[in-house]
Amino acid sequence: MQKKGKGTAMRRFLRAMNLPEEVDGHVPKLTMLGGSDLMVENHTGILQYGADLVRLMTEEGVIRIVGKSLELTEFGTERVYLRGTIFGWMFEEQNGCGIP
Amino acid sequence: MQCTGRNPARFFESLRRSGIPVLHAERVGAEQTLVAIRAKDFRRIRPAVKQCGCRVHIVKKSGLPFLLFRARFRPALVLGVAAALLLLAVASTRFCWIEVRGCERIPAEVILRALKQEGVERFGALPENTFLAVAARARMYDDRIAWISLEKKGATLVVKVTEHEPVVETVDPAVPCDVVAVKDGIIVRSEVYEGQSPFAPGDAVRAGDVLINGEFFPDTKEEVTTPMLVHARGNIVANVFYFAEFAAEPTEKAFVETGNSAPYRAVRLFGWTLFETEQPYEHCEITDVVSLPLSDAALPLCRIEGVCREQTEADVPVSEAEQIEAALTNAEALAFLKVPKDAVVTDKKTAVVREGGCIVGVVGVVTEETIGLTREIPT
Repeated sequence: MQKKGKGTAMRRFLRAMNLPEEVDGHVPKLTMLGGSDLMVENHTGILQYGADLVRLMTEEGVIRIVGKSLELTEFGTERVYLRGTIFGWMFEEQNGCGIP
Repeated sequence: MQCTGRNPARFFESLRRSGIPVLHAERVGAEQTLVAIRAKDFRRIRPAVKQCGCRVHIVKKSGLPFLLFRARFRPALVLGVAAALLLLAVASTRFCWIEVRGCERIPAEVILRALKQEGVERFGALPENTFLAVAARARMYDDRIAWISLEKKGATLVVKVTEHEPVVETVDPAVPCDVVAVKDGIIVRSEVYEGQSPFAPGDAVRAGDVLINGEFFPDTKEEVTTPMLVHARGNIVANVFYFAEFAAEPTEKAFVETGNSAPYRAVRLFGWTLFETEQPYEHCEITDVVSLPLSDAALPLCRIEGVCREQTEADVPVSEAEQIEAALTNAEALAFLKVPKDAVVTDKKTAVVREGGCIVGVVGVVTEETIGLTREIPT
């Protein structure tokens, strides 16, 4: 289920104008370099940090990043840079409990 | 720093809400996380630490302020770093090479000589705000220069030269014309494609002489009463002579001692003068210099003792050998400045003559170059 946020109308407008949707500052943007670096922009907080699992909160839901020896090489107000062996990432269910 | 607590994510979230960026975080144990933050944020994390119930202690301090703090008992290292930075700052104001670009007909030496006259030399310092003025003055030295621009790239001064386009008179190939000499010279090779040349290799020609006639009577058995008119074409290569002379004066201005002297004292550190006695003369020379290190000082100070000898400007005779050398060197430089860039230098003659008490050096440079120019036959 897609979360209806304040950014939805703006995203529709940007999509209609053929503009990049991430410029509204609410849509999470994930950039992955190979299997070792992942940058998450426009996050709204961190829920869990471990060497094998990192959970980040975004306007679109909770992003679950699974890997090994995960390090936060940068953690700012809007941007997280993760380094380590990344096995994968996914959006958790939107009902609030997430995947265990 | 090391953060001990069960939930480091909560600590990170508190930091994020306080606007404190985390530069690095790494899990090192079940409850231990190594976290790097800016030194100035350390005092601001206290509320976040209390809120999360974790404990924080500093593991390592790194960065320039801590490095300098650790190096406070090593003055030689600090002084060395300061000296290196100072040297770098001084070196960045000077340039080690001068690169001339864009010269096709003008020899680069002409540009370098013009810049030298304006005080621009290797290892010189030239403020960037004077570049325009220097370039404007330098382009007055030669009529072939249309524009000069100066640009400092690292340790190189790049001089970009734009030459005046040579005026080429285009003559209609259907119009009868002659090939005339533009310079005096002795013909070396003569290749005539159209027309008739009255000169053979070895002949001397003057500027303006017709080298290839476009109007001539052909060599036929039959008698021809009207001349043939053609568009003369050919390649006439001649030896051209470029002469230059320079008179070296028998005397030159130089400073000579008057006989008055005064003691001189100075204190120096690494070659820099920290203190010196006032010089009582307008022009003077320090002689008999003795450098004595100050043994009791913490810094390597040197006491300099010497004699300050007064000097005055006077005409000093120059030896004949020096006059000859100066006359020939300057005359040769002047002669080579006249030689076009596309000419091949084949020979050089030098002579020294005495004229009115001066020694005059005469240098002749012989080149091999094309001297023909197409010109319409005057009616």
